[in-house]
Amino acid sequence: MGEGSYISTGEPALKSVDLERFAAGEPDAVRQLYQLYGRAVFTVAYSSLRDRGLAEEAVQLTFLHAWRAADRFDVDRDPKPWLYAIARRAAVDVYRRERRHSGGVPLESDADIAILPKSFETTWEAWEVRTALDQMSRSQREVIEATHFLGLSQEEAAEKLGVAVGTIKSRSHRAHRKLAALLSHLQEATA
Amino acid sequence: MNCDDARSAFLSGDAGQRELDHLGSCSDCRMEWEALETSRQLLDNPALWEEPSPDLEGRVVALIGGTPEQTTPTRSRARMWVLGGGGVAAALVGVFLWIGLSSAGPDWEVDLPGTAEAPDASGVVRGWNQPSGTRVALDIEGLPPAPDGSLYEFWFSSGELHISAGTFAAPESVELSVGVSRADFSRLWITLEPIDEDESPSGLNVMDTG
Repeated sequence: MGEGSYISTGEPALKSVDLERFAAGEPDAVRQLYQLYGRAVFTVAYSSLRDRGLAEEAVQLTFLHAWRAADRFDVDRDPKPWLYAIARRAAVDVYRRERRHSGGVPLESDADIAILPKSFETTWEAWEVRTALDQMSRSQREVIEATHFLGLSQEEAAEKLGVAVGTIKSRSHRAHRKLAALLSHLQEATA
Repeated sequence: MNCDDARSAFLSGDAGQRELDHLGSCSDCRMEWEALETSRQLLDNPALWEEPSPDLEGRVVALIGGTPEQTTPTRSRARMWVLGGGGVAAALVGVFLWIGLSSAGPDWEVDLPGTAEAPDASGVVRGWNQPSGTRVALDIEGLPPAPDGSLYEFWFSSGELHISAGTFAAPESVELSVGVSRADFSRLWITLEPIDEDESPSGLNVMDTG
């Protein structure tokens, strides 16, 4: 999916007053923006860089750059695409620096983004999936994580989470239906 | 087999022949399956399940929170301030003449040698760790006043992350504040920057802890 094909999921945008306070560097507003999007920013960075320390550095750069640019942001717009673009760019900057310091071929122009590794190609999907997961309940996320990431069977997931197998089945179904609805715009774009 | 059992088995990867047979015979399940399968594939990225360190939020807040006009002034803001103030260095945001920051000793101290651009310069940075960041005092010798149209800028850096602690024109004893922790930044350095809107350390590197 191209980065320009953003389709709003209907998630409420930050109130304008929040971004204005963020631009002013008010700690509560900074913390609020991080709590809303910090994990998604980290997912973009980690998905690209595959290194926890570098990813966290990219997260800090993202919020620093966002803060510096906040006075130029239209507070009536959804901040998600704006923040995603900053996050991806921060990850690219960290990648370029690491490549330069590791003795690789220097990357000196924006055109060199075209030769970024494949891990950078799916950052938009990663961002969207992570923000979708963050909108789900803890119990729904837990069952998805147990069955997908940990690779547990339904019986094993039931034991790990301390619930009946039937509960796992129903939660799993509800969770995936909600996830499919939240990510329907990605499915339409890739169809 | 009911639809819920079949769909949950597919989603968890536990589907067998019975579930496949059900999918073949149930149009409702087939219609829903494609959407569910796509979302399931999107979950295969292991990065989705990595969580940032618990203290990252605090580091981000410390980095840009607080009172940025006083603790982490961008260069353009700081320089606009000095121009508006008629070039009086003492009026710079976050920069004060050294009149005795504290009667208590510093929490840390580090030598700040001159680079090849300023071989006669030498100095010491003393720092006081504070809940909102760090206050530093610079004792510098052998560095001339910044030429017209430029200012010195003091940086906290970690890799490519550069945080400005402020600008100054007269490099004798200077006190600065910055909203970050010294522990997160291994490098302290001073550049001579032209007065412009560029917020990155792009000028001459004149003093550097390395």
